[in-house]
Amino acid sequence: MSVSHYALLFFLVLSLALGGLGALISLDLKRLGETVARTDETLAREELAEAIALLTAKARDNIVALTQWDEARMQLDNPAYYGYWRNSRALTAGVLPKTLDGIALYDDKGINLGPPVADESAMPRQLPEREQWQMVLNESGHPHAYFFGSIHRDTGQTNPIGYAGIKVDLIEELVALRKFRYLDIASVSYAGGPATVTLADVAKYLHFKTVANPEVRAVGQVMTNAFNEIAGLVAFLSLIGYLTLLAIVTRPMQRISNHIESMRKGQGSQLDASYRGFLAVTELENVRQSLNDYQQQLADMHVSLNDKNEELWMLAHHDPLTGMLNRRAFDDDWRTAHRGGSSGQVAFLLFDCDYFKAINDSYGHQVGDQVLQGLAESLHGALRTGDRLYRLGGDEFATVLYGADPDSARHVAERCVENVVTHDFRSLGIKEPVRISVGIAHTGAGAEDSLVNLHRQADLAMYQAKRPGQSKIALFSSDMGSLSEALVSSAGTSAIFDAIADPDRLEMHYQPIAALPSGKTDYHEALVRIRDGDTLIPPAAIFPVVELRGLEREFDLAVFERIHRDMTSGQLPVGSGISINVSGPSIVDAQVFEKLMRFVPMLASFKLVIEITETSLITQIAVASTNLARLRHAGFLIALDDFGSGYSSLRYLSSMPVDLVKFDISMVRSLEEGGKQALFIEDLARLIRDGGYALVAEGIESAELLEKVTALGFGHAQGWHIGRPTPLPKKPS
Amino acid sequence: MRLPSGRTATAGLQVGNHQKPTVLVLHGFLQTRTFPTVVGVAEALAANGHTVLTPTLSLGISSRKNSLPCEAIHLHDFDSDVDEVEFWVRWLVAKGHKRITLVGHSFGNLHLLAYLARKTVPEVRQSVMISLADVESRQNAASRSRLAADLRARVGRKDANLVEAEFGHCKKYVSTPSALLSYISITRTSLLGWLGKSSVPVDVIMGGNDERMGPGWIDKLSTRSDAVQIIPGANHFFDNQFEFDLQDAVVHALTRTQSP
Repeated sequence: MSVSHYALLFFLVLSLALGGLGALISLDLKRLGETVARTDETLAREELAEAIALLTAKARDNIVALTQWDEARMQLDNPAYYGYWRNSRALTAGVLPKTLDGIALYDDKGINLGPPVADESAMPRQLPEREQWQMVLNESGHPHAYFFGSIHRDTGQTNPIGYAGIKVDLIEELVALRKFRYLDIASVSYAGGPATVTLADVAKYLHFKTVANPEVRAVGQVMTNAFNEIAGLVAFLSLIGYLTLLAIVTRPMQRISNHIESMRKGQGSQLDASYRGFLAVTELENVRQSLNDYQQQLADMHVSLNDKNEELWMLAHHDPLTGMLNRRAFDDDWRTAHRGGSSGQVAFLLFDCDYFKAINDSYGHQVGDQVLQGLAESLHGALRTGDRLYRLGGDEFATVLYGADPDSARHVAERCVENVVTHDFRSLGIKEPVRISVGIAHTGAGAEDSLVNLHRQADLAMYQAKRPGQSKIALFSSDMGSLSEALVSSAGTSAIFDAIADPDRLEMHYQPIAALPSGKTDYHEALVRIRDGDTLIPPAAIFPVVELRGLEREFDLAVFERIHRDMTSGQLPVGSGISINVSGPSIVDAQVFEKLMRFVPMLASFKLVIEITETSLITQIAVASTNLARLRHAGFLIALDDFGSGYSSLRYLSSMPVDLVKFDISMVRSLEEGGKQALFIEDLARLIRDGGYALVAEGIESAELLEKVTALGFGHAQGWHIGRPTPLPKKPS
Repeated sequence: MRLPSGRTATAGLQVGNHQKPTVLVLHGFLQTRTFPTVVGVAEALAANGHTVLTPTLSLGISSRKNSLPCEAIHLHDFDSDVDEVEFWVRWLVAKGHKRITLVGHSFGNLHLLAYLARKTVPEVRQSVMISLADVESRQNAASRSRLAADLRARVGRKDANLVEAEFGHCKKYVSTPSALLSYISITRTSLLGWLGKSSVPVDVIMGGNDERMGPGWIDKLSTRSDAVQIIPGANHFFDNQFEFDLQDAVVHALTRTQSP
């Protein structure tokens, strides 16, 4: 409830309390009145009794006066003029009160001296019995008191010479006798009693009312008036208080409350002094000041927060290293574009630095960062105005080209690649060329959900672009779908991880390598598959995941273990040879080296060849050379695999201890095509052979090609024409 | 005392020295023996050793104790009053009082004069009349005469109805015609005649300022009385300091007859 409601409630409660108090006071006054009434009745009855006693005493005095009156005695002696005396003299002589209603003298026999009268002054004709000499007769509702006495001739005489009687109106006489404090004499009436009753008993039959106690009434009136005045004053003051409270507290508080509500909604300015009336309440003023201060602080904080937010947004949406938009910004923009449902063409370009990990590992993270900065600068410079470059993480960058067709997207990609190629990374001390691969995915018009797939498709395309022999720019095509399955297959990935953990899940297929020109199998190349239930996962599906996940070392170790188990199981014939592929990152790894050294005891029984894949960038040439030298010294043959398809083939050949050079499939097949390329390959083969290296030709799938390579002096040949990779026969359980 | 009329009368008696004259002090009209003037004189005389009898005329009321108001029904008559005086004198004689002085006040002196005009007893030696009432001071003779005539007429026709008349100091005097006539018929003449015919010396003591006497009344008294003493300044009742003058005068008057 609001303050005004509470104040009103207080006012109502106060009114109720006053009303209750008034009722209590009224009740108490009523009780007081009743008590007083009872007391008054008692006192009134006492007054009545006193009055009757006074009346009796007075009447007795009157009777005495009458009986002792000389003139009364004279009437008894000579009643000749009794009538005149009674009518004219008796009540005018001053001996008897004029209020007597009747007077009579009786002779010594008790006979009324006067004649009968029928008016109110009538006295009994016969003197009543002595016990009734003080009696009351109820005469037509008017009780009259009668008093009688004896008249003696002289004091001390016992024989009366006559009697006297007087009659008074009881009520009138009582009224005249005294003032009654409690008895309402006018209300006195005789009822319920006999027609004649002695004066001593008359009080029992007198009914009366009491006079309203003026003091009690006055007290009650005073109290009532006082209460009414107090209640009125309290009510008035309460009303004034309520209105004042309303004016100086409630309404200002309401305005403060409204202002706070506005503040909560982020509206309104500071509260000025107009919120209140002409009277200021210190506490409310303090609240207002505090609110204004707080509001100002909030505003300042809001500004600061906004600034911080902006800064934070900037920080959150920009890559601090390169200054480009980061993954978060990309996700936001991507979601916005996805919600907006771009109806035009959209090309998604994914950029990835080739062998960035090797660069980072070889030259250090600081150089790695500078490379990334250089990449960002190069890519950003190649983009169209308005295009946004995102660093998605690591060495991966992306941009989304809205309204670009595939050709435009490729054109942009080529510019990016060119910019990277021409950027001076050598100033960073990097000897190797820094290249990028670009994967392009394009929506085409009309595909509503193609934006969802663009990133994945660009990722696949980018992976394809990374593959040896591929252009650095790849546009996603539908045939890349299977690869995506391999890359994203959670089942496949899980199988790979399982195989890494349990090398028995690996299934080595051995492809024979024939010695030339005999064609006799000299050794086999161990090619890895993964048996996942009934599914055999091929290398094409394994290695992209291994490379993507950076699991070269772990996978190599598992393969080495698998081969070692195969060799120790006796399934490989003694005297045969095994060619073990070792990835570039693995050859510099100490654990891998140690693992390979475990094969040393088997050198006595097997010919072991270590094939170093040329496609993997070996940045630590010195370490690699040292390890290879040690392995070679231990008895391993070192073969440089996929010669001609990857990084600085000749540099590897000159830098590392190599025994065998395995010409890549693409180079061998070039021999079939003839032309300048074939001539170059022939000359290169001769050069390397003349350099003392033994040559192995891969990809021999025809007799003609076999013949050609044999003619060129290749010492070994490998390919489906020679033999397909086959698993070892299962050992009987 | 039961009177011959059958009524009872009362008197006060202070027994004194028998050597000194017994004094009967009679009150004024409608008064009693308790009238202050009477009481004062009686006390003085008693103090002086006199036996003093102060009767209260019954006025027709047995054992009358109080003065009779003018408005009362007056059934008494003058002669009855005088009869009572005679009764008390005889009572004194019967009690052995040999020398009796009759002292009266105001209208009581008329009773004494009327008695003295009768055949009195020899024991009555003197009378001292204090403020001898002038019956015509309030009503002149003519009006009294007219009233008397009316009353006689009523009496004549046996009209016994009460009459209300102005009589003496009473503005309203209620009485029977005969009773009133007995009083109203007393004139100055008859009064002075009684005074002149008194068988005993009568000393009259008058107040110089007696408002109840007409002009020349003292002179007339002087012609009839042996001694008329005027106490200057005293009123009809010898109030205040004149009370003592009166008492001295009465006592002195009594000394005149003390010698045998």
